[in-house]
Amino acid sequence: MMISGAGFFSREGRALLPRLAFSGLLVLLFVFLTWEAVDFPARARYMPLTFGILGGVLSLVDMVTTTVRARRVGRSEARLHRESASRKRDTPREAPPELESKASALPYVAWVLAYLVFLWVGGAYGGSIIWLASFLRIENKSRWQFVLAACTAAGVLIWAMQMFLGLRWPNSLLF
Amino acid sequence: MIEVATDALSIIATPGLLGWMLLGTLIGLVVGIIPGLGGTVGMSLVLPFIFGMDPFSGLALLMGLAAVIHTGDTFPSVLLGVPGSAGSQATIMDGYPLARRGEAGRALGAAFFVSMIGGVVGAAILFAILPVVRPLVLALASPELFMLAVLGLSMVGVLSQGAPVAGVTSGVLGLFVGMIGAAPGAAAYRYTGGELYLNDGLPIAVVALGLFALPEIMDLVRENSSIARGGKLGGGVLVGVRDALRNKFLIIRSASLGAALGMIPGVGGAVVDWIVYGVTKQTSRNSHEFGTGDIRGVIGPESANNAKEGGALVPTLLFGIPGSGTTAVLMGALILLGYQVGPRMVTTDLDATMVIIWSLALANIFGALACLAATGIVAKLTTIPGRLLMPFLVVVMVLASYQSTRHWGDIIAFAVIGLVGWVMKELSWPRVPVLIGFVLAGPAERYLHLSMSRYGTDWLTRPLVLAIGLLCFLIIVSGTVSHTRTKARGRTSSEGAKEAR
Repeated sequence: MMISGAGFFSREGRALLPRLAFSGLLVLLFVFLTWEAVDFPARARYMPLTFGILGGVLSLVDMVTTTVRARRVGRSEARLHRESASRKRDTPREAPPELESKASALPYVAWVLAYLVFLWVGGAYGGSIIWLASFLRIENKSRWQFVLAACTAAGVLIWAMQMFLGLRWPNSLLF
Repeated sequence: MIEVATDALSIIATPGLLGWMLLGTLIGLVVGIIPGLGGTVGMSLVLPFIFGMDPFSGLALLMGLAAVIHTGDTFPSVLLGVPGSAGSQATIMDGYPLARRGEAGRALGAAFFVSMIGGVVGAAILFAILPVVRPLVLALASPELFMLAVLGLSMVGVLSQGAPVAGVTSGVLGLFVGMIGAAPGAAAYRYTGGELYLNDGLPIAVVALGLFALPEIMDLVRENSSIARGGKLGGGVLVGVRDALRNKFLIIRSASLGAALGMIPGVGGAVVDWIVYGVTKQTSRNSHEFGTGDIRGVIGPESANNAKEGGALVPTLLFGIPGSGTTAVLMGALILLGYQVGPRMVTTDLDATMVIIWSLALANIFGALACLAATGIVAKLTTIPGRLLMPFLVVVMVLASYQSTRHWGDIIAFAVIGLVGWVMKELSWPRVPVLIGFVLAGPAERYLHLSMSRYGTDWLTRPLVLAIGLLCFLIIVSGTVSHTRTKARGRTSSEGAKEAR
């Protein structure tokens, strides 16, 4: 299978690269899961083995169809370029791939992961309130009064749910 | 029987009992609204207080709570795209897109109205079927239960957003997530990596929250928009109620199907929800609009999930077989109150059964009315900018996921599944099939194992197995035909547009 076909060098084709990578990862995952299933006792094996093979084949099919799609869009894009060059005028450019827009969510992923670290260090009360204050101040640039009110409300809500609904919150793993 | 029913109504209409039922309804709504908590948690909360209570008051409290869990859980499903509980998963398919269009009030109005009707239909079916249900329930053995799980799995194709390969692959991925932990029928732990936390498998709340909550929150902050795009609210509660009234046959059909499926022990709320959603989609005109904010996609599953509670009480009360965690706790509570579940519930203790039925119907009405009254205010939440909502939602989601087993593994699993869900959303991989696969992995494998051990391959020729198999086949074929037609229609219209240009 030609993965590094001309299609993936085109503007639209590059947008399909993450999908291809994800399908590739799925193929590897299903191969691993099937491999693991071989060692299970007979009664625990048949389902993961069957579905592991099915999943592997299907993700491979997705890889192939993504590659074919990338080649097709690559070809049509090249044709458009040729036509625009022969007409010697600029054709309106296609909308840029959404890769950059998708990457703009990464700082927020980092914020969520930071919250887990805050919880780990400070437990539910301390971790949540400090993280909430940090987010509202640094990311949202909220005013101190709002930050204070929001953190107090969150603290009271967490406490009320513990008191009245009998819910339990994660304790700090360090202290 | 009618006489006992009227006597029970006069008992439940006393202020004391009504008070207990309303208290249960209030607790049930709060528990339903918080994602990750479900009926089992709610029932467990009040169980310690039941001991020593007057039996009818205890029953009213418990049934008030159990009846409205699936009414309250519509709020997170519609407003956040996060299933409030396992039984409201399918509501997110069309409820959340409606909220994104600024029509949260319409979706919630329709959902609460049909929840009320569904709950009452469920109670009525429970009342009507009690004397005759025994042979029906006993006709279902492990082969039929396995086929019902397959029926649920066949919905994966229907719900693949026009990408059948990716949809089925996602479904298989979900099956593997569901296979983590102890294997049914064999002394083996699978894919646990030696982690004690994974021995019991991943909790459904963690998987659902991770798959849907985190990706939606990420989308909101990235776009810096409110849930209702443009920050404006369109259709109101009454529009939703009118939508529901226009689809009265769908309500009755979905509620009856929900109650009937609820009677089958071991078929959980999630399975019922997806089956009803799939059937609604397959039997509706212009089904290509499902998944993009079609109100019928809210009406179908919401009618069913409340009606299912009535059906689920049949095996619990008559045979002592709890069909879900909620009914298991209810059974424990009934024993605490001095009742012996089984045939006595329709003979000696018929009055208690009637109190249960009335509480179920009345709590559904009160719960839905309370939610309808609150909808206007709650729907305004969808106009708050995403960046302001995000930190609070993250705190609620993470702490809610921790309630599943109260282990740090819940939080870590939530984050990992959330990241996978986010990647899937960004790459347009359907996520719903993952959830369906996850929910059905256990029942499918368990019942297949039981069927093979007990019947060999003979179970394949059982009439009900063949009938359900035929239904699966029809669903897959009609799904494929409808997908091909939609594609062809799209091609024709784009060619027409080109010609017009």
